[in-house]
Amino acid sequence: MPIDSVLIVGATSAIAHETARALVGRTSHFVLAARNAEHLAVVAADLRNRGAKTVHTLHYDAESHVQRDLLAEAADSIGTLPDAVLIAHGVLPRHEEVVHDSNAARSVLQINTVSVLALCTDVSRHFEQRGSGLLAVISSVAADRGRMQNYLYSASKAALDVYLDGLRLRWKTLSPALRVLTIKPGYVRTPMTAHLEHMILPASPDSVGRRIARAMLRRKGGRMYVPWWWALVAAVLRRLPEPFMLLVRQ
Amino acid sequence: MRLESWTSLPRSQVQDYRHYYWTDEDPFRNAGSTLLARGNGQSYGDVCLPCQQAVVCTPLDRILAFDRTSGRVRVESGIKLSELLAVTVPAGWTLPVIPGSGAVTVGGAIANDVHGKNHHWAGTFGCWIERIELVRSDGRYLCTPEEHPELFRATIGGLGLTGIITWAELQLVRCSSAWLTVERFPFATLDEFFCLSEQVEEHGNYVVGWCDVSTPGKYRGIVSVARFCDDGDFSTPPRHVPLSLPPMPVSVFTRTTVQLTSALYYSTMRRRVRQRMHYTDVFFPLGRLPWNRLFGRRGFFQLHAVVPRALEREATHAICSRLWRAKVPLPLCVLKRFGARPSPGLLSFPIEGTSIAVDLPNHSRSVQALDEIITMVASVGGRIYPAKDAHMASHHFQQMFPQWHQVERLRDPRCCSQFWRRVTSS
Repeated sequence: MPIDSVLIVGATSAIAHETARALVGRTSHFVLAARNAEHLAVVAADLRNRGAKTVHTLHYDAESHVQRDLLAEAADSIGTLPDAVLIAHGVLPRHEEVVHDSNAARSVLQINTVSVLALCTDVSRHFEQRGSGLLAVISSVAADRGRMQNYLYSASKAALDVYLDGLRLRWKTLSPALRVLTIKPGYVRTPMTAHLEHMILPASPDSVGRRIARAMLRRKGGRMYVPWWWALVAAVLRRLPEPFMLLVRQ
Repeated sequence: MRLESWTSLPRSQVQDYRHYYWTDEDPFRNAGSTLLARGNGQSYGDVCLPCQQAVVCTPLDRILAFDRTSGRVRVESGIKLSELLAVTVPAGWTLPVIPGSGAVTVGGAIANDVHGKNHHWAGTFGCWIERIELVRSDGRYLCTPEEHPELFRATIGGLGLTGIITWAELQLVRCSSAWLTVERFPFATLDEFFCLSEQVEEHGNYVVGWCDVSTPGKYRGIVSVARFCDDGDFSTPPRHVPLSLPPMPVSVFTRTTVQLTSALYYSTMRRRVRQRMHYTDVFFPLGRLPWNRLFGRRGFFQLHAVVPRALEREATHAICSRLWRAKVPLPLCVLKRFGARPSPGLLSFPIEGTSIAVDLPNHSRSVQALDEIITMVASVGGRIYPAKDAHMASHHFQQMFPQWHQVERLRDPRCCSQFWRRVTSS
């Protein structure tokens, strides 16, 4: 089943925008949700000018505690429940700013974890009712192991991995048309990582976006590392005994 | 990560840079004392190298507006020309001016006022720009030929010194196919090149000459003439995998290998009289080859000069023979006759006459030849292309581009490049 319509949450993020560009041509209807209305309008115009048939926008602030059923809103604007959902919003805090500040930590968790899992819950209800749908969520390689430099971010993303693993199992018992894709990018050169001093072989957002779009169009499920070799790095990291983790300073 | 210019000359590395993600940000806030806008780093010399901090504009790659009936497009400055063409060509519009590399950004194309194989009818990139938004340290300026006309003219070909271009609006031209017919005409002497080239310079044609300068006195070559087909075929050819190479420790070019490959290229191409080619292969022939890496770790220079019409034959001949006497491998020499269409840009490179572009490996004999050729070009009233230059002396630059004073006056005090520092110091 092709992906004719898609809801993208956090559409102004560099990876989400590149993914959307790579979907143009195969996917006709886009519903984009993001916080910054001006940036959202620019991204929407870009997709339209590149050949997307319809592009709708929704204003969405992940930090707000008001629960919104974005998928239902998207269905209202395009007249049908989207075939796929990509959740791409998130923040990467400077670790020293959140390590002892519970309010800052709470806001990171609200954006990266609480809002995402609440959205996933709505998505799973709608998709299960219809019996089909692809849910793709951008997590991170960092979720595989807590490191001393950014364990709050790792924890906020690890919750997504675990939730999506469970949802994937549930959906496997329900219908083969229900798919969950956990996307785990390594370092990507985007505004989110602009403050990082050292990045290991950073990928460009467009190469990552193209990979994600290809996986979505093939309706892949499972965990996907981008670029692929992060799977090997993560496998080592997960198994590394604690004394050795003290040496990992990146 | 480090940034460098395309020729990877050893001294050309930049470590202080940041990316410019959204046009509503102010790049001058919390920034170094002087900045320089940078596109994709495709220029050959030091025009893309900042004195202090580079503002990398490649994330600004969005198409803000595209009117498919009038062919007017508004794009952010960091979009690559190849990417823009991939969107507009299937809609029946092509860029009026296409340089030899698709990796160039729109901002870079404006700042260097690039030209293409159709200069004889289309002029330079700057001739087609309608509006530019410029961010300067003292605010934002919308520049058109009517509004802030001085700033508009200084920004076209302005080497990024007048501020940072956030977006530009330009007019496209119609094309009814993604494919072109290419005709090739061999020539045995430079005189023949000039006659041939003059005959085929019609409106709508893309004309360029490739010349083999590896054999003395026998400057043979091929003039290729391309024209968009009329068949409405917007299909894309099967994708070729771009060749990727690790940086070579030494240059692969020697005088013998260059002589052999040039002879082979000449004899193959003279037999391919007529060919139908996709626009990417016609406009970006070196796009799939990591050309800059073939010269090894020492990098290379490019000489790109234009000599005025009245003296074009003698001067081109003199340049070719001086190049040959340098006894270095010269793997690529491209000739192109420029037309008379003026550019609005103050520091625009093209003048009516003939341009010659030659790649030279970084070698002391090349440097000596470059020095002599630049002096000679200056003496006949010609010019050296700032985007390709890494070598010109300041008095030569000031003689070739007397308008530099005006640009200096309009330069943003917080924008500076290593090139500008070099050519304006006396």
